[in-house]
Amino acid sequence: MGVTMNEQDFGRAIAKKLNAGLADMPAEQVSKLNQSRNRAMAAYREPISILGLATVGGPSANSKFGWLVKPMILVPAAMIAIAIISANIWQDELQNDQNDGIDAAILSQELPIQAFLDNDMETWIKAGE
Amino acid sequence: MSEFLASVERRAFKQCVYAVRDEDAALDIVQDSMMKLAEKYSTRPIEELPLLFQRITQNSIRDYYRRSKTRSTWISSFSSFGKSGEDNEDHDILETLETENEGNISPSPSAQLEQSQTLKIIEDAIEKLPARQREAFLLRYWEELNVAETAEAMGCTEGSVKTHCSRATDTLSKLLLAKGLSLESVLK
Repeated sequence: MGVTMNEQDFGRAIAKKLNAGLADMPAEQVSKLNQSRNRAMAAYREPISILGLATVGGPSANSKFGWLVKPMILVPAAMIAIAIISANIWQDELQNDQNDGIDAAILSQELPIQAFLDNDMETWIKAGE
Repeated sequence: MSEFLASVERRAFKQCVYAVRDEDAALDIVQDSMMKLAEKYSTRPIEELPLLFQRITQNSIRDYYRRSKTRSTWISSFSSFGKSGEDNEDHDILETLETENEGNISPSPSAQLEQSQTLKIIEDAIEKLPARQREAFLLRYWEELNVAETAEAMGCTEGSVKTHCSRATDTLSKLLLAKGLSLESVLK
């Protein structure tokens, strides 16, 4: 024979021959494979990223439900933003209400006796004076 | 995803044909594998797709073997209820399948006779390899997966992959030489 080949050379040589054969694949088989791929792509859901997080697949932008893609990203993002802002406003208002209540109680001298026994309260009053 | 599938579909189809020796069944396996990849793994990064697709395809081939085995077991069971004195006593389901499949494979349209003959000899030899050897050899050298990736796709150890590849190379070269195909002509 006069030719020696190691396993890798042999494997690559066979792969090269097989690849050459792929180009001559009958048109009918190529067409069937195209159809199979198209069916698979019809079931394909492009991944949707919300706030940088990859989520399960949603409708493709090119699919007939593509118009859903933008609202599916924008609506949850807007809802999260509104929720954060509302929580901040509510917390500020709660704090203000508490401060107003304490001020009013001090002014009207309706503060419960326990409040004057509290060390922190005493420090706070002295600091105010 | 579409580009990836287009780049692997022909090789996947041929791999399945070598494994199951039936073009229609091979096409079904490739289509199922494509569907599974598209439906279940759409969020995976593109670089993970080759290995995932190979894993799905190899599992689908194994499922096909299992189904065929179950089917032939049932057929054998039913045939044992049949008339005992008839010609089908020596009937082997694999022989029938092989005969049917031979008619199912389209002839190569290659214009270059020598090239197509060489390819035919190589493809026949690959079909004759034991399933695991063929799987390892094709994944490793045709799909260009490394040893670790091949092991993952096959669900075995790296050592087994090396053994299967080595044996496949040995068997293939002997089969090709027996058909009068020299290593020179493989290298050409």
